[in-house]
Amino acid sequence: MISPVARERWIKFSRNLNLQLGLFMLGLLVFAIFVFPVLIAHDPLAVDFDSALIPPGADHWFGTDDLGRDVLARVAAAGLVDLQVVTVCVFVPFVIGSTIGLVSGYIGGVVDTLLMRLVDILWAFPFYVLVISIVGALGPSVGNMYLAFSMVVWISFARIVRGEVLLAKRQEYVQAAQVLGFSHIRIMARHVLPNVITPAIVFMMADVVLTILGVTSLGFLGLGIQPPTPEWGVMIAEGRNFILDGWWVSLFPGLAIVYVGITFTLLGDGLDDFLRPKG
Amino acid sequence: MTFFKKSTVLATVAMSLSLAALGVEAKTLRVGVSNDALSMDPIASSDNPSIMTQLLIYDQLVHPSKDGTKLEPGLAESWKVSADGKEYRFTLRSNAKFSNGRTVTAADVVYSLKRAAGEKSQWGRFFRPITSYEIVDDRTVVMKLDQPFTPMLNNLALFSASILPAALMEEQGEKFFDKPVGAGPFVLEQWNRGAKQVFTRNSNYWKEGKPAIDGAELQIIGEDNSRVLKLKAGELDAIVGVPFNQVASLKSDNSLNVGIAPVFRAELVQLNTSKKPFDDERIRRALNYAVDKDALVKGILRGNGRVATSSLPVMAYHNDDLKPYPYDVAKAKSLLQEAGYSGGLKLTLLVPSGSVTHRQVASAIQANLREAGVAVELQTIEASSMFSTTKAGNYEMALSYTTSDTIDPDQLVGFTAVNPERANAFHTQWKDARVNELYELERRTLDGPDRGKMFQEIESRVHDGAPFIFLYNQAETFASRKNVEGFQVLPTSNYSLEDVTVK
Amino acid sequence: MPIAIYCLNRLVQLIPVLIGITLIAFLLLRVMPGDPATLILGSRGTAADIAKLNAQLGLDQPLWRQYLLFLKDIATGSFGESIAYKASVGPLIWERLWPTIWLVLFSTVMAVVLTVPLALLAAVRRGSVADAGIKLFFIVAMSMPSFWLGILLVLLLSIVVPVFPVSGYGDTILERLHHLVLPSLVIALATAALTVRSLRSSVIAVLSADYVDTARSKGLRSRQVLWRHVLRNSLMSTISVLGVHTSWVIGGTVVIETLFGIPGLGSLLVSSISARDYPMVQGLTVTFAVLVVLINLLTDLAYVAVDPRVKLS
Repeated sequence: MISPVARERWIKFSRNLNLQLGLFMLGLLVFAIFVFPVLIAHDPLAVDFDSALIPPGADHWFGTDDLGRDVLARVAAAGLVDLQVVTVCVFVPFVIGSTIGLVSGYIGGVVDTLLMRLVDILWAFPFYVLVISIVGALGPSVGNMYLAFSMVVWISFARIVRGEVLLAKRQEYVQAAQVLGFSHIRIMARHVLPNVITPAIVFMMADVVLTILGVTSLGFLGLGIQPPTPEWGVMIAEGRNFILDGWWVSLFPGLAIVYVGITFTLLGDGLDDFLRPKG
Repeated sequence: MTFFKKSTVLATVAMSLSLAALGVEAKTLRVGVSNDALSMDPIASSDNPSIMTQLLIYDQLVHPSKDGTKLEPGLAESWKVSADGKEYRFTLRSNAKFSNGRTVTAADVVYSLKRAAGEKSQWGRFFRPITSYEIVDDRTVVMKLDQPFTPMLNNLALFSASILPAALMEEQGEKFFDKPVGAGPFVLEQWNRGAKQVFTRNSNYWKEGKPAIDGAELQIIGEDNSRVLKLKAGELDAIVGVPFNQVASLKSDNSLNVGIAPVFRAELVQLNTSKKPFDDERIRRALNYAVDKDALVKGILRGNGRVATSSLPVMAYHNDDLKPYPYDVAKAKSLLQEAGYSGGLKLTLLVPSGSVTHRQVASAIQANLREAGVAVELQTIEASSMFSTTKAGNYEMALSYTTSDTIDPDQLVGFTAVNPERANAFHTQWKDARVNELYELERRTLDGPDRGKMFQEIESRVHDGAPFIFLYNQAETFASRKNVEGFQVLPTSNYSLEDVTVK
Repeated sequence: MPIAIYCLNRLVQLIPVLIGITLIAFLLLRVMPGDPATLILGSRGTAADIAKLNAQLGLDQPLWRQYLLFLKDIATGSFGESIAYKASVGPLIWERLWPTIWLVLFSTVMAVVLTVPLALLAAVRRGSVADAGIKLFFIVAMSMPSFWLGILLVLLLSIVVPVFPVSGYGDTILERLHHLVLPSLVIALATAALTVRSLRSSVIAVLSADYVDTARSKGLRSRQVLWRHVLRNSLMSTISVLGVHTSWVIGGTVVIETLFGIPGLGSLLVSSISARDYPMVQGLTVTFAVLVVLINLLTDLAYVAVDPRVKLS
């Protein structure tokens, strides 16, 4: 027997084309990243000048780059690297930002005013400028990239969640919980959080798109993940030098980024419809 | 809104047509280069971009010939060296003039060379052997040395021996270099740092009818690829530094000429011997064995170069008996083990940004060293700050190169092998007493087989001491559009623009 | 509240923001590894040399005094001394400011040109093939890394069909516009991907609003309704949406200027970071943030000027 809630959800899901397509594309992506490296015999790091810049063909599906490395093997290996980095760069700010937004909005008062001043000030720095400056000051490394993104992106989540908290605070259920004398922590965690987190989750999907662009842009500028670790942005930067004789070197990593972008845009739209009560 | 769009397209089309028309009339040569100059002061420069610009705007008493085998008259129409090698007498050209129309006099020569030998000069040692000057008349100057100094004439052909207008410099001080005045073929009209240098023809230049073009523009384009694309698109007339893997495809382009110039140049990995583990000669030799240089020459240079045996380019007095370190991973591993690093090693390598070839070489070195159990982390750094970074000693290994500004090996021996000297063995801090001794000796020995033997011994000591990973001696690549004639890179790696014509 | 007082109020509100910006940029330099004097002199500078330079740069002072010195540098317009250029940071930034401003202006205009008609079309023909097509187009545009799109456009429009220059920045205004077409287009596409969405929803909201129905019932033809009421309102919301994304547009210039070799603030930032020129990075960070704040202010004022009905609060 299926519960009515589950049934209703299923119907909602079955009508949500964005979410279905997004999930399908995500599945395909995960499959490709984890299965391809096993299937292809090529080492993404092996330099072999004799097989430099071979066009896509039976042996090298995506061709080889200027150092004779298999582009498919590199795109797949880079996918693993990029998605790992993006996951951390999105999830950590999500947790930090949501928590700050929740607490700040709930407590209100001076703490809230000060925090929101800080958010306003940080907001004035263009995303890329701040991330590049932080990574530049600390030196390019994966750890510093995590730090830079965390320091910059949390403000978006804090803003979103705080706004929702301010609305939720006026709702009956929160006021009822307060009257019942529940602890603030319990009210925030049990009553407020579940009702305010949906927009943050939806934004998280959009943030994945922004972050993948940010991470690969840093790689492209030589300020992100360093060679020889395969990374899509770095690969495009390298392939740019052979755009006329070896278009495949930068084409495929670019397509991979676009694919990830589309996947998470669809997931974001889909989740928005699915999670947010309409009407 | 749509009207706006259409009109922009029309405007841009019209503009490109009119610009094309302008380009033909003005006869300005647009050259794409990779890096901007840092300074216009000849005694404060060591970087190639500054040197090359200075050679366009300043002139010297003598010049290396275009084939790099002998010296030719410059501002001096003739000179005489006494038999004991202690007196140099120069006669200036009567029509040698600065770009402001003033005549170049013996006083200017003395002022400039004294300045070059002065306390503030990075090149003092090159000129300090001159102990006194005598101004015979406006056009004649005699320089006296306490003891013979064989590289003297070649040093006077250096950019750092550029003749500057004494009176103007006295008057303007450091401000002079904001708007420098020289006796070279071109005048620096405008300098947008990091973007371009604009030159006009020096109408007072002493060489009759030269330069043949009205002006030149050096556009700073760091990315090799953008330079090539801009040349192909006709936005540039000539470029220096074509990535080797694009040479073939550019050669097949009918609108372009591609040149490969043999230059006095050595590609090296500097090893900071003041840091562990590079203080250990076995490590440095192991690194030399671990890199497959033949593969670099074949795979990356596409054969346009040869494997290097030392830090000196293939030029006069080259030691032909020296054999490169063969590619031998087992040998490298055993040396590493001997030195106590059998458990592997983690090193960082500075790589200049922008250059395709350097990036490829860095990746290849990284892959090579990985096989020998050495993990290398690459650090990309702005090419223009490479020199100051290694000079400051803030590095472990650095992918770099050196080019000779003269046709005598003395300069690069002093630069890459001698310590203490200007660069302390090119910032490696490597020290060899015998090399220092030979350097002193070589400078007092007249040209001939004896001096040659000294250079050869220096070279083999550098080879054995291995303060660098010796990579290769590469040719310099350049390309120009078919309507440009006479654009070429000289053995001293600079480009002379005075003979260039644009049709 | 009269407009003058509103403006004054906004300006006063800026003061804490500007102070905060300088403080953050200042602290940013503090987190870097190593100290500037060692960086400038190199590890072989003697301890005395380093101490002397530290004193010269004010680095031997307590942190709060260093911050005041930094504020003084900003006030005098020098922004400190660049390590790479060995000259004052301020004038170098000033020289590089204009290409960036042109790029931002040009790409904003392009974004509006792209946004308004496409969003209107998508909203009026809601659910049609055109609507879906526009949506798909901008999902793809949104997902494209700007540097990759830039490379593709250069390949297509500078090499295959040579209409626009590969890179660089001209001398005359016309030349500059010509050079800025491709870079602006790249930024505009990414921006329009954000603005088309919001404009589409706001037009849909306007279309279903009462006064449009009233207008229709008065017998105005639908085209007139669209122009008179809907377009005016949608332009307003485009301005505000663009205002929100200013920071995004300006940030986009960093990558694009580097790709297209435009001598602006963004390419200077990237090269200064590679060159470890921290005073320059610090000056640029402040400049970028101030630019964003000023543009946001202008957007707000423009909004008030265009539509006096906006609540001045």
